[in-house]
Amino acid sequence: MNTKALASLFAFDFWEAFDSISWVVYFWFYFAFQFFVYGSLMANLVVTVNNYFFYYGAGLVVLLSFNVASWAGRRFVESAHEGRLRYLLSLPIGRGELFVSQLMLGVAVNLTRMVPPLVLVLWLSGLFTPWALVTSVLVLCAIATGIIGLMVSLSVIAFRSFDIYSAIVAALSALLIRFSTINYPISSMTAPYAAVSEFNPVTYGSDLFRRALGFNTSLLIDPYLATAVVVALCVGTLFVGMFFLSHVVEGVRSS
Amino acid sequence: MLRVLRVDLSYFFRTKWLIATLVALNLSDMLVVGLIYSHMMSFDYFVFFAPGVVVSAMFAAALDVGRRVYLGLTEGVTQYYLSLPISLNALTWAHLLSAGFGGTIYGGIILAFALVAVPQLASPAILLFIPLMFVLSMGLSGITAVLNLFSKGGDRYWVFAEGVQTALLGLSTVFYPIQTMQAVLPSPVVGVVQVNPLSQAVDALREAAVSSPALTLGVGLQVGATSVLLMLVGAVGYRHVFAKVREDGKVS
Repeated sequence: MNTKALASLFAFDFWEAFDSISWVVYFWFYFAFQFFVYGSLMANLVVTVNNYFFYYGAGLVVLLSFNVASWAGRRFVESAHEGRLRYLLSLPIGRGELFVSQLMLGVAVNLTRMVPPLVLVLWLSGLFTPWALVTSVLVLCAIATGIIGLMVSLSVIAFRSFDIYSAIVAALSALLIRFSTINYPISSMTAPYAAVSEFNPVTYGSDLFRRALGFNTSLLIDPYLATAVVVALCVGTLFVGMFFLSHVVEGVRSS
Repeated sequence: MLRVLRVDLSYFFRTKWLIATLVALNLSDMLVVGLIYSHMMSFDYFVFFAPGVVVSAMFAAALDVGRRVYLGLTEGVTQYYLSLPISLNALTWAHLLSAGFGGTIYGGIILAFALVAVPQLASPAILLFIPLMFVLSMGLSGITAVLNLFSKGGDRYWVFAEGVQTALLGLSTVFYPIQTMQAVLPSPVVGVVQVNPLSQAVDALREAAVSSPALTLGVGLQVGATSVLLMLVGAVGYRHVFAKVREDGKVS
């Protein structure tokens, strides 16, 4: 692997991702607002989950991590439509380096945006330990990698129609989030919803993240099963994404 | 003016991904989030939340006029409109009316789903809510005029729009009862919640489902007054934006 080319690509994309400071500020404002206003109000209404405020806070971190990872996938598609991908493919850079740089970008942006909210949740919940921080960051990275791989894999649709890609990604994201344990435990769902949720990798990611933070309640899914699903998602979507970028991507039709 | 209105409105429903996003979000909010939270609370949150989804759907559709004006400003569509024999007032009202229709049609679709999902909401008084949605959508779209003005047609518009949407929805009675807010939030913030047009709208819808039409009319008048005020702010804001574009070719 050409590490110099990889580093150049990554460095260029990384600084470009921070072009708009106002979005970063909004991102943290959104987290703070949802956590302190929505979270504390809903915690007053929810009666079946002890300490719902922190349960929600942990879910919010996963939700925002999901959004950043989706953004990274969408950015790849947009770069294709703006002609940047064609330019990159014309350079002496391997497809592998290109894919890894996109992945590294998504994970790096995710970390820079998610670590401050994560530290806040850990600190306020009294669960802050270096071990909890390291393991929860690792779980977040694994979730982000899986989602970026999924979004890049789905971008094959965008090479036919950007509108259809956007519609599918939007609908899929809404369903992946709603039918997961990001906001509520699986035990609170009706049987049909719980059945759908059990096939949703975000469910396992969210519960594994809560375990990593140090929440140990019977409401969470078995950590070994959750770890297996998150790793499978990560590896599976990475292979699909890598295959897609190596064999399918050649150009893109303007929508 | 009617032609501009028609073209502007058609852009909203033509953007397939936007409609798909909104429908997926609104229906999954209502039928998944609302139902699941119902199992976690001591009251029927689903019945409480369904009107909230209708109002948030209408709000999102009404705010979309700001996105269309922003794109019009950056892609030269507004400059083209201004080269036509159409007055600033007509252009302004075409956009505000388009927001009114967009909010009413889209909100009406979600209301129809809500009526199927929550039959208790169906009452003769609910018919009063439809014209109210039109006025309210026009009023809420006025907020986007201010955002376009402050962002000066720049990329910051998206940040402002997202921020205002988050704050207005979060500080309203769309998601939670006012009693809970009174117990948790400081009283000045609760005051803001009470004058928030989204709180007034969702309370009017909830009231329409259970109260007499006369009582609903009183609540409706309150919503109407707030909407007209916002609409006037929007009219002045958009007129100022379009006047700047006509004079300087850009907002900033």
